[in-house]
Amino acid sequence: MVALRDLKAEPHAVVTKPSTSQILRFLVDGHHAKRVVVANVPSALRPLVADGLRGLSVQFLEEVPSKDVVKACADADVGVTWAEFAIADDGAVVEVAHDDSARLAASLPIVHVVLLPTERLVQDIGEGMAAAGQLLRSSEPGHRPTITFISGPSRTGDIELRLLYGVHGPHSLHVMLLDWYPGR
Amino acid sequence: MERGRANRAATIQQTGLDLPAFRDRVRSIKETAAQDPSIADAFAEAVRANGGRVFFAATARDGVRYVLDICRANGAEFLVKSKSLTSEEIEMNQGLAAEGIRAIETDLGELLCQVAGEKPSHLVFPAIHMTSDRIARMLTQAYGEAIAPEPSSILSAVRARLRPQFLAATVGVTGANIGIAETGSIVVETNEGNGRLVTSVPRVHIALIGLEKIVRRWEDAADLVRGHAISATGQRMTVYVSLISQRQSVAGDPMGREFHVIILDNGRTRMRADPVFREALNCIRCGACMNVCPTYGVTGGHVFGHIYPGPIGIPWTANVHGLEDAGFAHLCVSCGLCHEICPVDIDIPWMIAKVKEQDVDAHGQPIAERFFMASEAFAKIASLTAPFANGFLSHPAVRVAMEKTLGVDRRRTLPSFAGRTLRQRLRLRTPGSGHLGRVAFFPDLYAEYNNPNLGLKAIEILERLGYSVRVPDVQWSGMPYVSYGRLEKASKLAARNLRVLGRLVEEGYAIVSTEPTAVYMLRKVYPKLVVGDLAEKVAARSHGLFEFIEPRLSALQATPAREIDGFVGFHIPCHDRALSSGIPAMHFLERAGYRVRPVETGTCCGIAGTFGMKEGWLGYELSMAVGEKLFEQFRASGCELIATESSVCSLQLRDGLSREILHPLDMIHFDSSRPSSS
Ligand code: SF4
Ligand code: SF4
Repeated sequence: MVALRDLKAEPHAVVTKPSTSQILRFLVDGHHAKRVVVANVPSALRPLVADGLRGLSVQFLEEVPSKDVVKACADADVGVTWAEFAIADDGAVVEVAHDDSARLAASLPIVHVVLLPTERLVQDIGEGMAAAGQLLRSSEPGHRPTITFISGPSRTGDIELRLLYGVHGPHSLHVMLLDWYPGR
Repeated sequence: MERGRANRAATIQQTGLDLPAFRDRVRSIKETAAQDPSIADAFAEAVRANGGRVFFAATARDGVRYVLDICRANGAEFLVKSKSLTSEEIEMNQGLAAEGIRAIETDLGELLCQVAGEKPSHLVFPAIHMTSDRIARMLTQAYGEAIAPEPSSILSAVRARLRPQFLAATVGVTGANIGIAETGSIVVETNEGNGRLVTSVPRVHIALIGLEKIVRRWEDAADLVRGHAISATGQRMTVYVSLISQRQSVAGDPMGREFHVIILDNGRTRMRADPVFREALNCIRCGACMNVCPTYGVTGGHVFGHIYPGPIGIPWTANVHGLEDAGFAHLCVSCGLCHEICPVDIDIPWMIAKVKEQDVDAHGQPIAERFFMASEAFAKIASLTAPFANGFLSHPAVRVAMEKTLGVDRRRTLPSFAGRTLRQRLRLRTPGSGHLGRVAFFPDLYAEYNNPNLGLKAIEILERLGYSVRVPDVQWSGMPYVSYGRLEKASKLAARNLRVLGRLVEEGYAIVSTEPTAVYMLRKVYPKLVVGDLAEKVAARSHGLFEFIEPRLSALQATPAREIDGFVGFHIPCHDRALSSGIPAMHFLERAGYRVRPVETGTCCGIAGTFGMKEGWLGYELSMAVGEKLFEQFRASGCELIATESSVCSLQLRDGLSREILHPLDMIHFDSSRPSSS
C-alpha cells in the first residue's frame, strides 16, 4: 500500500465481496464519471462490476464490436481492468493482455481502476520479473500475451524536471486490492 | 539536471542493491549481446514464429526506406511515434518528410523539440533546456489557442491536441529498449503512456531496435530494466514497462494487425570489431554520464552532441554519423567522471581520447594544445631562468602576446616556477635507511618545477614514517597528451616512465605522488596506453601520498600550522574521485586537529588540467562557467580555509574565489621534539 502511494497510485482495500461494488461506485462517482469501459475482468466478477456501475453508461468490451472498441475507450471517463499480479515492494501492478481491448481500456480514459487479487502479490521486482518471464515462456509462439508493468499513473518530467501526471495515459490510477478473492 | 543525480543516490540506497555486483552482471549481459551475432538471428526467428516480420537494416537509409514502404503499403500519410533515439539516429522523420509522410512525435519532450524545431538536448530529458513560459508561448503559437504557462495547462493542451492523431493513425513507430531472443519479445519503456497508445491503437506497429540491444534470455532483460530505471531518473521502474511479442486481437478480432521489427546495424558491426569502440555498444542509455559531465552541464546537448548527446554521444557519433559530426569531442576535458558514474563501467574517456586522436589527425591541432603538450620542456626552461621567467610570465604585455601567439588565456593565473627544482634540491640530501620499505616519489611537473617545497615535505613525511625515498628518473605523467588526442605520444612517454618504474617496483619500491592526476595516469590510463603486465604491475603499486600513509597516520605527530576556529572546505579533484575521493587527505587534516568538510557539486571545478588555461570559449570561459556553481558553494559554505590536493584545481579555485588555496601538506607542522616513530 505504501509502495503504491509512493508511486502516486491510490490503493483501496476491498475486504468483502459485496463491498467491491460499493467501492467501485464510490471511486467512479468521485471522478464524476458517466461512461465506463470494462475489459479483461474475469467473468465471475463482471456482475459485481455491473452492479457497482448501475445507471452509468457501461460497456464490457468483450461484447463490443471490434471496430468500435477504440472509440468506446476514447469516449470513456474510466477504464476498469484486471491485474494478474503485483509487486508489493515497488507497487507495480502487472497487466497480462491476450487482447488489446484490455490495454486500450487501461490507457485511453483519464481514470484507470484496476482490480487486483491481494493473494497474487509477489514480494519484490525480481520475483515479479521471474513470474512475467514464466508466463511468456510457457505460452506458445503466436499466442504470447502482452505484459505490462504499470507503476503509477502516466507521468512526465519533461517540463522543468517537475514530475507531472496524466500526459497521454491516465492521470489517476486506483488499485482495488481484493482481499476476499477468490473466496470460498 | 540535479534531480537526475539526487534521485539516483536515494533510489540506490532504497533498493539496497549491491551496486558493483549489479554493474558486473549488466555488463556481462550487454557484452554478450553486443558481441555475439547469433543472438540477433535467434531473436529474428522468434519474432517470425510469433507472426511478426523482421527486417535487418544495414544502414540508416535502409531503415527509413522500410518504414516508408510499410506506410505506403498501408496508405498512411502520417504515423505516430514514441521517443526513440534510434529513429533519430537514422533521421527517420526527415527521411519520411521528404517523401511526404509526417512523423508525429508524441513524447512530450520530443514533441516540444519538434515544435521548436530543435534537437533534443538530453537522452532522458530532451526538453531540459526549456522553461514552462517558453513552452506555453511556443504551443500558443503552434496550436493557435491561448495556453497558460502552467504545466497542467500545457499537459491538457498537448493531450487534447494529440488524441485525435492517435485515434486516426494507421502506423505507430516505437524504439525498443531491449529485445529478447528467447521469446521474440521487445521491451518498450515509457513514462507518459504514449508508448502504450502507439502500440495499441494503430493497426501497424513498427519497432526499431539497435542490434546491440538484443539479449538472449528474459532474466538478462530483467536486470537491464532495473539498471535502466535506477540510472535514468532514479525512480525504481519506468511507469510502463511493456513486453510486446506480437500483435493482439481487439475484442477477439485480429483485424489484420501487423508487427514489424527493424534491426538496425548502421555501423554497429564495425564497432563490434573495434577493440576500443566496442565498449560503446554496452551503453544502456541511462543518461547518467551526461548528468555528471561538467562541460555538458554548461553547454547542453545542442553544443555537446550531434544526435547522440553527451559523453557517450562522442564515440557513438563518431561511429554511426562519422568524425565530421563528432567535433564536439573537444568539449571533453578528460575529468574521467563519466567513467566513474557509468552503471556499466564503460571507459568513455578512453574512447573520447581515441576520437580526439582521429580528429586531430584529420583536422590538425590548435596551437594552445600543442603548447600545453610541451609543458615539461617549457617548465625546464622557465625554472632555469626563474625568477626572470616568473617576472616575464606575469607581465601583462607578455600575457597578451602569449594569448595571441600561443592561445593561453591572459586572465588565467599561471603557476610560478622555482629557481631550483626538486631534484636539484635533493642532491644535497642523503636518503634515510628506511626500515619500513622503499618509496619512489613521482613529482610530476608541479612538485618538481613549481613547488619543490611540497615535494620535500612529502618526502620528509615518508622518511619520518620509516621509508627510504628516492626520486626516480621519470618524466611528467603527460595527461595533456591524452586530453588533446595525442595518444601515440602519450604511449611513448608512458612506456618510458613504465620502464623506469617497472624496475623499481621489481626491487620492491612503492610509487607515491602528491598529484592526483599523476596517480590517475599511473593507475587508470597507463595500462590502457601500454597494454601488458608491466603497466598493471606499476598500477598496482602506485598510490596517492595520503592514501599511502593513511594506515600509519597515528605515528605522525602533526599539528595545525594555522590557528582557525572554523572549518576547512575541501575540494575533491575529479581524478581522485576514481581513486580515493579525497578521503585519506581529509583524514590527514582531521588527525592534525582541523575540522574538515568537503565542499562539492559532484562534478569538476572546471579547469580540467590545462583546458581552462586555453584562451576563449573553448577554454578559460567554459572552465569558469563550469566552476561557478562550485565557487558559489565555497562562498556560501563559510569555510575558513580552502584545501585541495591538485595543483591545477588550486589555480582554478584561486582565480574563481580570489582566496588562498592550500595544499594539505602546507597546513601542518611536525612536532620536532618527537622526530619520528622509529
Ligand atoms: S571525461 Fe569528463 S569532461 Fe570528458 S566527457 Fe567524461 S565527464 Fe565529460
Ligand atoms: S555510457 Fe554509461 S552512463 Fe552513459 S548513458 Fe551509457 S550506460 Fe549510462
